[in-house]
Amino acid sequence: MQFERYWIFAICCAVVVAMLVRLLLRERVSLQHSLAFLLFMLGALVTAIFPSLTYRLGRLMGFALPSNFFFAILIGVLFMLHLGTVIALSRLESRTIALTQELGLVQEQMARLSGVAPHRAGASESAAHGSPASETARAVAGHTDKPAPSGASST
Amino acid sequence: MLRPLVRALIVVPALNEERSVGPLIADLRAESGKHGVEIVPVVIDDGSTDRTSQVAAAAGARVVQLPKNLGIGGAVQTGLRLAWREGFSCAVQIDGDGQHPPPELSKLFAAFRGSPTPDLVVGTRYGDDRQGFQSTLLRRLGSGWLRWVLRVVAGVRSTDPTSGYRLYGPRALALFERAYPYDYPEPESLAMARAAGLNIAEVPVVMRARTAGSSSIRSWRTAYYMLKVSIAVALCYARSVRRPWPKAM
Repeated sequence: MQFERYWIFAICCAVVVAMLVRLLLRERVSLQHSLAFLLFMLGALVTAIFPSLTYRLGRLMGFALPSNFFFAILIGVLFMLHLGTVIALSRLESRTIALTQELGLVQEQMARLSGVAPHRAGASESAAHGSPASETARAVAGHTDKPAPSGASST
Repeated sequence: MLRPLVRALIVVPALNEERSVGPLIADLRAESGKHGVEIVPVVIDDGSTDRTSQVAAAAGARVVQLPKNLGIGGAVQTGLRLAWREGFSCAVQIDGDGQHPPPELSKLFAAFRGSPTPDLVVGTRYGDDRQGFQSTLLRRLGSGWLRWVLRVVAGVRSTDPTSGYRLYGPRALALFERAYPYDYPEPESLAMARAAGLNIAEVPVVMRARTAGSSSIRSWRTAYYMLKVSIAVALCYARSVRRPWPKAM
């Protein structure tokens, strides 16, 4: 049986692999998180150049059409890859939240110990811009900072 | 007879609330010392771009500035962590937008003194007397659905599950210091508390319409909100069945 080789698809795969390798070289993505994706794209490249492989494997697993087999595998693998990403994302999110909270708490404690009032307007974006207004606020806050009889009973 | 002086950390999550946070802190400090409770307000500035932090500090509150916006759950949990670490007797969550009048604190503290001591006291706006701000029809419908889900799935009887005016006792602090839901946390945290075997009490309080800003719950987002919270409550129940929560404390 004669199979034609899917050159356009092969080129697409090769381009994606090249993009991925470029990202890896520039350390924009880590190998740990992109390895599965890289292997999957290489696999797709192989099936594009050797379609007979897809045909035989598909037959083996009971698929009448190689394309159906190909799509089924594709969907399955993409689903797994996405699931992995979601898991990694959730873990990252909970870590980021915990770290952000910790940072806020530590900064508050430091400010209390050194007697400096919060001075950053819009803590997230603006890099310390000493506008006259915020200078005044700092001075005012500095005097009234002692919070009630809250007691510096930090543990 | 009053118990010895109780130290309460009042957690005020605030995002761009420079207009309402100043008077709120002043009102809170005016409550300190009454009812045998020492009040320590802390404003959790959830990445505000206005002068919320400075206003709060000038009003005499402790201020924790989160370097990035975490959302209401992450902000509240920051305050609960602080209360837990510094050994406060309890923490009260109160909105930074002026919805929750500080004089109503006394009702929460009174309930906290009740016997058996509740671990979580929720201020409900649907008390018997029904005064003050009540809410829109859509919101009441949503609230009804949440009440039903909480009651049927999690076994929590709550008349106002979205209320953000709540008091956390030591066991609740120990629980939520470890894990607290991130978005739309109130109903889900009730289910968590119940699953952990905490004692939840309710007390009617008067709430005001917000003085500034807009509710985080509105329009089509309500659909996502309802779905997310319903599933979260169910998950919480399933978790507690599979692996009972470690007893707090």
